[in-house]
Amino acid sequence: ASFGKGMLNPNAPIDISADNFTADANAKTGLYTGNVVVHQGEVALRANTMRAQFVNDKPSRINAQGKVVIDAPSGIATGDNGVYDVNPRIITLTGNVVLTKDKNVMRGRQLVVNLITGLATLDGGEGKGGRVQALFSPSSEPSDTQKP
Amino acid sequence: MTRRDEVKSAVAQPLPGPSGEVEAEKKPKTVLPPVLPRIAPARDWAQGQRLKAMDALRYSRFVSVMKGILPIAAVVLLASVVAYSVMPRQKDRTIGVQQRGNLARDLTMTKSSFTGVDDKGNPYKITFAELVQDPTDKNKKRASLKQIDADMQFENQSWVNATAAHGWIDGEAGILKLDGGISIFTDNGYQLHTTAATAYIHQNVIESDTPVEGHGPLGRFRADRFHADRIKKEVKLSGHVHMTLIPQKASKK
Repeated sequence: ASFGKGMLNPNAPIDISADNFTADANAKTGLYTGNVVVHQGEVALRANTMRAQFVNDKPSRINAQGKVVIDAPSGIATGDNGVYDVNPRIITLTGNVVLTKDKNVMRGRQLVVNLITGLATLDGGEGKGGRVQALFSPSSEPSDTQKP
Repeated sequence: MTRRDEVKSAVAQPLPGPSGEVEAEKKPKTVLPPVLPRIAPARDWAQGQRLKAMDALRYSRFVSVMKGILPIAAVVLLASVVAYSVMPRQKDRTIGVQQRGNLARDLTMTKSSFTGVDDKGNPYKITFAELVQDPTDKNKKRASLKQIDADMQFENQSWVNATAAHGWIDGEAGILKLDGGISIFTDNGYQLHTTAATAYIHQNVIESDTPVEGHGPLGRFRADRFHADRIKKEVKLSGHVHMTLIPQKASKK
């Protein structure tokens, strides 16, 4: 499924806001807790907590836990956990994943979104017969071609 | 004939005024009947001229007095200079200190610095423009500080520099309160700025309740409060934390 167009500027800075942040210099990680929101360009990632790993002073990976939401102009996806691999700009949502685009809803076990290409892959995994469920609503306004 | 009489007789005759007429003394004007011709008074001395003469007299007397006094004053001055240079110096200057009253009680040090090593052998150096010891403290371990500049090096040769406008230290309790604007710099390029902070020296902790902002290689950050623990190597930011991180360039996958 297409999650919409890719990011306009994939190298945009990453803005993170939270109630608290703890930097662990030994582990080179930073833990954000309380209403954590990550913005990069036009995409936002929300969660209760996020732990960022840094390599050479650059964020390399962000693990999100608890009510994870990807909020993009073309749709919203929610899941229990999420991982943002920063260099390839790929977000992976796992656990009760629900992808909503306009009135269409899709459920699955794992959603992988490529922010550069805008491509999203939803797979059902083993649970519940390992199948993806989708609900497409035909658009309510009759299009011009369907004149009575 | 005394000097005064000589002067008086010399100036008795009034001199004619600018119009050639002899100026009458300034008495209340009595209107004479127009018929009688005005008779000019005998040559009377004008007040102006008499004043000038008195001045001259006074000045000459001043000069003669000064001729006497000045040499004596010069001699006295010279004598005191010589006496002072010969006088033995007081070794302990106790007189000087007592005269200034309570300075002896609150010890002031200016432009001083402390150097030492912490419990792990890491060297530190603290310099300050002024340190005034707290006179009320029996243990003599409390003092207020001005313009503090502290450098500390760590095991991995990294270092931290901290500056503050004012400070107050309790050596016994191991508490250093800093305010008036604090800046912290680290050798790996981080800067942190806040208004006030408290360092708990024995616990190796420094924290602040005033907004803090900073930047470094990772990016920029700000928060309402911060707490840094040197032993745990942990920095906590809390309250409206906001960070801007600069990611690596996107890699095509």
